Amino acid sequence: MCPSLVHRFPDQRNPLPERKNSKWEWFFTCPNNIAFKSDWLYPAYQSQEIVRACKVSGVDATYCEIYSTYGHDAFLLEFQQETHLIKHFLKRIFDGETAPDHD
Amino acid sequence: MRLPRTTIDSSVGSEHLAVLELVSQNSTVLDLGCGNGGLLSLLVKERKVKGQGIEIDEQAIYECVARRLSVCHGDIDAGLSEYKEKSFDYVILCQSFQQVRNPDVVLREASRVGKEVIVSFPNFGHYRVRFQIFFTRKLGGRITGFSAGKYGCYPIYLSVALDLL
Repeated sequence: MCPSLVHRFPDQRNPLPERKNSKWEWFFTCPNNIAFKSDWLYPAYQSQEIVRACKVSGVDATYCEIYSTYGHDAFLLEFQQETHLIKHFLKRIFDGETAPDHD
Repeated sequence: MRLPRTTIDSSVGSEHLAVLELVSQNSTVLDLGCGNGGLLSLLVKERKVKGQGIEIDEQAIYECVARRLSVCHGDIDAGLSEYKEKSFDYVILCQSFQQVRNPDVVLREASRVGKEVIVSFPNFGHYRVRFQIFFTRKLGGRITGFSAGKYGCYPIYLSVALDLL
């Protein structure tokens, strides 16, 4: 599951363009990947492929593999962890990268 | 390069300050085993670095995300093959080197990816630690008050102790 839209799959031959200052550009080029350990429909290794491609292209990517035993239904049940990750991802986009003193 | 100490929170550990003095402004940093992101967020705040972290613990990643850091859930023992040569100014292993299973592989990969590598690990040769080992015979976990992690710090302890005795 990838809350941000990776609009073009980057690789070594087709790296993503240089990041612009626009927040929306940043939204599209700074993906936040969430995977679930027990999800066999969208397995974690596929999310890792996205993250690996981002790293090869020099794009910042955040990746978290949430431990869960609920299989593909985990994305409906592990909402606390998802909320935490997506909340801070959106905050980072719209409030800037510098964090306030840790809360 | 002296630090403006007044702006830094007093809770920051001395090893973090030592690393901070080594890192230059506006550089790129890869923190291997970044934990809860304390060091990386300090570097972002004080040195305006562009940082990335790799961490194996899920709960620590949630803390990193709350600090608005780019962090990847991964095992540094598995290598850093996706990073290009010399793609970071600094690769930092701060208090995480004693927990890796293949220190030679990790060091080789770190020196390939980074222009400079900063490594710090607990001083197992310190007299207090030696006394603790001597009197309590606790080899893993509690040696220096650092959490030993999943694999314990026994192997590196042995090599360091043999080196120092």
